[in-house]
Amino acid sequence: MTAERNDMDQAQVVERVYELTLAIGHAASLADWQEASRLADVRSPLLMSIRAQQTAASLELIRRVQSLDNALMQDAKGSRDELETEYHAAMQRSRSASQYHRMALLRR
Amino acid sequence: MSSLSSFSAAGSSANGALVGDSMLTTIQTTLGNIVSGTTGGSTLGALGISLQSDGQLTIDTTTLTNAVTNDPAQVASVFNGTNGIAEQLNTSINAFTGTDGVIADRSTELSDDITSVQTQQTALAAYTAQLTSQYNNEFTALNNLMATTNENSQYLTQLFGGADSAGAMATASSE
Repeated sequence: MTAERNDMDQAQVVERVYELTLAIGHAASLADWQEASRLADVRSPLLMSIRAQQTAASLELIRRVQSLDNALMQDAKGSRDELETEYHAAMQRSRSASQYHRMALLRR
Repeated sequence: MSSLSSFSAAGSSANGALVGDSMLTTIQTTLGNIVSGTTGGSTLGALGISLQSDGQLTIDTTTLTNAVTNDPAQVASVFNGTNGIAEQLNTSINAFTGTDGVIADRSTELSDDITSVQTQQTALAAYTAQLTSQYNNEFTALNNLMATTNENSQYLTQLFGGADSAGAMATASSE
């Protein structure tokens, strides 16, 4: 009875982890990294409570979670690289404008 | 005026503060025209006083002495009190330096420019700070997301295997 109960709990945990994984993927697709990060923090303790023994159905969901997480990592890395490039370009433009202001004041 | 308008090299700090400034050119031209123009039927040049390219006046003592000795009326007419050289210079210079004169106007214009540039500088600094803060929030979120997901992935791989390894369960089932 206890083993059955645990199986049920684990199935629910895996189900919830899968749902949260989909939600993280959705936030990532909108480049809403704040929300994706928040959901990942919610998901993590649940995911870390998943145990090795799982039903076939749960195992199938776990495989999907693994696959989605791999894709998410690629997406996040690419976005971080892009963001870095954007940020440096924006700061460079800002420095150029600032230099222009300094020259304008020197000229005066 | 020559130091204000001096030019040594582009961007050099040795350049005069008003190099290329149209107001300064106007003042130089106006005063130059008065000094080199005809006044009371004669010119300063005829009295031995000539304008140099650097704006200075030089006196040829012999010519001036002759003029004063031989034709004092001519000298007096050049310097007459109504529209003589000195009077013309006085009128012009007063117009330049008065409270509504070109120098005061230009000075107001320049300080307005400085204020405007300073305002833009402040706005730019605020914008840059805001931009940095926004990007930092994004970077923090992305880094946290990646760290958490990476840890979770490693845990799942350990239990169930992944792309590169078999995992505890796969190993257990094959034993």
